[in-house]
Amino acid sequence: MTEFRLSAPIEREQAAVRRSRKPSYGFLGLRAVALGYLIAFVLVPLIVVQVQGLRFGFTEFWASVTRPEAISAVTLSVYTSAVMALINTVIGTLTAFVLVRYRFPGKSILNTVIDLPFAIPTLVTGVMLVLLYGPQTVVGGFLNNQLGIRVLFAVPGIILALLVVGYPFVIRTVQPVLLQFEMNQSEAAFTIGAGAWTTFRRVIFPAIRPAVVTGLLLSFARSLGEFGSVIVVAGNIPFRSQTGTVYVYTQVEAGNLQAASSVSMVLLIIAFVVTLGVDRLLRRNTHA
Amino acid sequence: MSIEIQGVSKSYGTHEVLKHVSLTVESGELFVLLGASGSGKSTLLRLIAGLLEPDSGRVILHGRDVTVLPPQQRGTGFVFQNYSLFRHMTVRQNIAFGLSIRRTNRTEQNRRVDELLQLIDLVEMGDRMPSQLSGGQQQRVALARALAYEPSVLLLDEPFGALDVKIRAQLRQSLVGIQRRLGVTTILVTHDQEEAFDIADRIGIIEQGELLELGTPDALYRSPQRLFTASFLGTANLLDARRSGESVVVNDVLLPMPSDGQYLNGHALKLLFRPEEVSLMRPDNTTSRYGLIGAGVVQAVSFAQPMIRVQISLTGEHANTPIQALLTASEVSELNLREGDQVVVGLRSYHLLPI
Repeated sequence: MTEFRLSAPIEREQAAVRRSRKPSYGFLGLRAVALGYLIAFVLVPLIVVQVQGLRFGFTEFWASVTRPEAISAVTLSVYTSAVMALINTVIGTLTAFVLVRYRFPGKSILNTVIDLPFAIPTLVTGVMLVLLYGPQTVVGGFLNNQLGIRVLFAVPGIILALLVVGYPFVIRTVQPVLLQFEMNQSEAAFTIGAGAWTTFRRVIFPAIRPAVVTGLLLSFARSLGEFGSVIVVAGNIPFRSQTGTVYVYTQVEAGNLQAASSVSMVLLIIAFVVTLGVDRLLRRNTHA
Repeated sequence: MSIEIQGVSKSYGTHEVLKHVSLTVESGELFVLLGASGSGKSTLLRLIAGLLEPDSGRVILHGRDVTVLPPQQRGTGFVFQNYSLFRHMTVRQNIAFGLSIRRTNRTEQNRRVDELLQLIDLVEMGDRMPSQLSGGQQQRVALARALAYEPSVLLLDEPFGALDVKIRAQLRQSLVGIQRRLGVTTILVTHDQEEAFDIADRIGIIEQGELLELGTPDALYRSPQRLFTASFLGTANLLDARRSGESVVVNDVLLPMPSDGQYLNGHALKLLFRPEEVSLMRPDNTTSRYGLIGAGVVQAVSFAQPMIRVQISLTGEHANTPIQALLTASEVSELNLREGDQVVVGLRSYHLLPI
C-alpha cells in the first residue's frame, strides 16, 4: 500500500508528460476551424469570381475589361485612390507625430475621434459630404461660385469621401511606431548639432518609413474598394464619376455577371499586389 | 573654467526641480553629480546641453553665455542612459553623424571614425548595426558619437545605469582613460556612489534641487559639512555632541576637538565616524590610543565581504543609536566577539559637523 501511494504521483506525472507529447485533438480542431473558415469565406468566393470572370474564355474577359467605360472606371478608382493615399500619408504622418509628441487639451478626444471613420457606415459619410458640399450649402456654394470647383458628382468629391473613409489608416500604423521610437534619439541628434528638419529627415523618418509606406498602401487598397460613400457623393456617371466598384455594381444590376466578375478581378489583382507589398514591409519591419 | 552655472532655477508647475544652483567646473575636470532619482541632477545636465531652458540663471560654456541658445549651437557631447543610437545607421554612420552635419569632407570623416573606433576598442564592429551590439558596446559607440565632433564639454546622463555590474566597472575605467587622454571637461550624472567615488575628480551632492556640497571624493566622505552628505555617502555613525572648551562631549565622555572643528562655535553638533574607524576592545584590555566613547553590547555580527560588520548598542544616553563597526576577520577572531559580549568602543578618527 505504502509503495503504491509513493509511486502514484510520479506515475501520474509521467503520464502527463506522455500525454502532452501526443498531438492534441484540441489544437487540431482549432486549426481546422481557422483554416476552414478562411477557405469557406475568403478563398472560395475569390475563386468563384475568377471562374466567373474567365467563364467564356480569356478573350471575353479581355473584351470586358478593355471596354472604354471599364477602363475609365478602373483608372478613376486608381487615380483617386492614389491622390487620396498621398494626401492621407502626409497628413496622417503629421497627425501621428503631433499626437505622440505634444500634449494639448482635447488630445484624448481627438485620439478617439480618429477611429470614427472605421465605425461610421460609409453611406452615412457620403450623406454628410453631400450635406456639406452640395451646391445649395454655404461651403459647396462658395467653392462652386467663387472658385469654380464642383465637388459633388466629380473627382474632388470622390477624393474627399475617400479621405474621410481612409483617414485612420496612416495614423494608426505610424502612431505605435512613433511611440516606440525613443525620443532621446531626436534629442541626441539635437545635441550633436542637427536642426529640426535634418533630425526628421535623417533620424525620425528612416525609423518610421516602413510604417508610413504600410499606411499608404493600406489606405490605397481600402480606397480602391470603397463604394458606399462614393456612390452617394459622385453618383454613377460613366466616364466622369463612375469608379471601378460602382461600375461593377452597375453590371451586377444589369445582370451582366461576367463583366462584373472581370472588372472585379482587375480590382482584386491590384489590391492583391498592394497587400503583398504591405505584407513584405510588415515582415521587414518586424525583422529589423 | 569650462562650465559655469550661475543661479539656475527650474520649475515644473509648482514643483521646483532646481533651486538656484551655481556650479563651476574646471577645464579638463571629471565632475560627478551624485543624487537620488528625482533630485534634479538630470535636469541640470539637460539645461547645460540646452535640451531644457532654465527659468532663471545663466549657463556659460568656455566663457560664452549659452543660456538662450538651442542645443545645436552649444556643441556639447551628450550620452544618454539608453544609448539612443540611431537604429537604422551602422556604427560608423552613427559616429560620423556629427561630422556629416558639419559637412566635414569624407576622408577626414573616415579618418576620425577610425580613430574613434580605436579609442573605444571596437575597430572590427564599424559596419555592424546597433542591434547587433551588446549594451556595453552600444554605450561605447554612443560615447564615440558624442566625441566625434570634439565637443566643448562632455555630458553623461547615467551612462552605465542600464548595464550589469561587471561591464559597468570596466566601462567606467575606459571612460576615465578616454577622458584623461582627451582632456575634455566632463560632467557625469549618477545615483551610484561607488561609480562617483571611482571616477570623480570632484563630486557634487544634489538633493531636492539643491547642490548641497562639493568636494573631492575623499573630503566629502571624511569631512562632510552637511548632515545629508554624511549619511548619504557610505555608512555613517552619527552621535549628538556638544562643545566644551577645547573638547567635545559625547556620551558623557570628553574627546579632543578635531582640528577642523574649531570654527563650530555655538552650533549644535553631530559627531561623525565611519564604521571602519571604530575599534572594539574587551573591557579588561582597553588602550587610550583611541578616543574612547564608552561601553556597549554586541548586538549582531555578520559577514560583509571582505570585512565583518559588528553592530553595537552603547550603554548610556545613546542606547537607541546602534553603532556600526567594520572589522577585519582576524580582529574579530582575536577578540572572539559574540552576540551579547561587552565591549569598549574607541574611535581612530572622527569628524564634527553642524546640525
